[in-house]
Amino acid sequence: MNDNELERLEAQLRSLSPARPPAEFLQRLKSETAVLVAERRAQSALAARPAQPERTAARETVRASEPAARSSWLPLVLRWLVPATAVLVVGAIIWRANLPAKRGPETASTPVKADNVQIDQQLVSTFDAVAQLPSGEPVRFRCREWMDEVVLRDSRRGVEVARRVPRVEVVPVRFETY
Amino acid sequence: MFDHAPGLLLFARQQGRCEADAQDLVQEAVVEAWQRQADGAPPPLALVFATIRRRAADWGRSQDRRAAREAAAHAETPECWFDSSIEDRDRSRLIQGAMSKLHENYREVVTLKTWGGLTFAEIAEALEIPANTAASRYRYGLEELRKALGSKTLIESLRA
Repeated sequence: MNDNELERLEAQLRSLSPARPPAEFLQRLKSETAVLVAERRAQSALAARPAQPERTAARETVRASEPAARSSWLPLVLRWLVPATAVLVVGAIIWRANLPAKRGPETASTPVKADNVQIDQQLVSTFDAVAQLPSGEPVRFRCREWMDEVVLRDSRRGVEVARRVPRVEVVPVRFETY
Repeated sequence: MFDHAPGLLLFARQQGRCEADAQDLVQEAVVEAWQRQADGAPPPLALVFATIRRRAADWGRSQDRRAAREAAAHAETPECWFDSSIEDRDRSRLIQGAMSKLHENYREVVTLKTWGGLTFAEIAEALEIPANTAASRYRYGLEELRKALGSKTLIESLRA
């Protein structure tokens, strides 16, 4: 079979056109693809620029004309809206947490006014120490350890300030005493 | 895409389907191929043909579908693959008969090239074969067709 015969046969075959599909089938195919195209365009519009007005209008047109497209919109919107809302909420919480704590004007300016003061002294330990002077004379010291505590309370503002200070008391005991 | 619907349907019919199955096959393949397009643009024709072929193979694996299809095919009158006037009806039946007797490998390539409008590169992509193989199958397919049609018939048809 030479090239000439081949070309003639090709032309012969091409002269026949495939049978036209039934109109009902074409209609079904067109409606199916129309919905598909609308969904695809809506998805790409959402992915590209969600707030673009003209594409929003296109989406609204699709929503109004295609019930199937409408049903596919809800998950799309939810898929975008739910994470965005979650991000906003978390962002607001973090922002609030980082704000400097507000203090009342009296907290910053007015001093504490104590309406209740307690002073306490606790004897922690006591002992005697014996020493000897250079002249050979014995000396005795009475040693006491104290814990002094002062508590100031401002009941109006609910403030309590406590301070504990250790103190050592050394008292020489006269020779006549012992 | 809809301009190519006759070619797509012809290819689907040649996959051994009844008319109803062929239409379903085309519709599902078009939808599937379109869904793969991220921008919503029409899919490449080669991709649609490839999807038809793959789906036809998937359907063929199902024994239930096959039995139902064969029963339906027996019940239906045989569909005509080509549009033809009264004068060309015999010729189109002749070519359809010769095409249906072609080996599947040849028939696919001849159909995609002649009525699908694909290049050899696109046919290679659709059938997942090298382009050279597609070209040689096309030539062998035409030769087989000519043998099946017979030189006398061919000459007569060419004269007509």
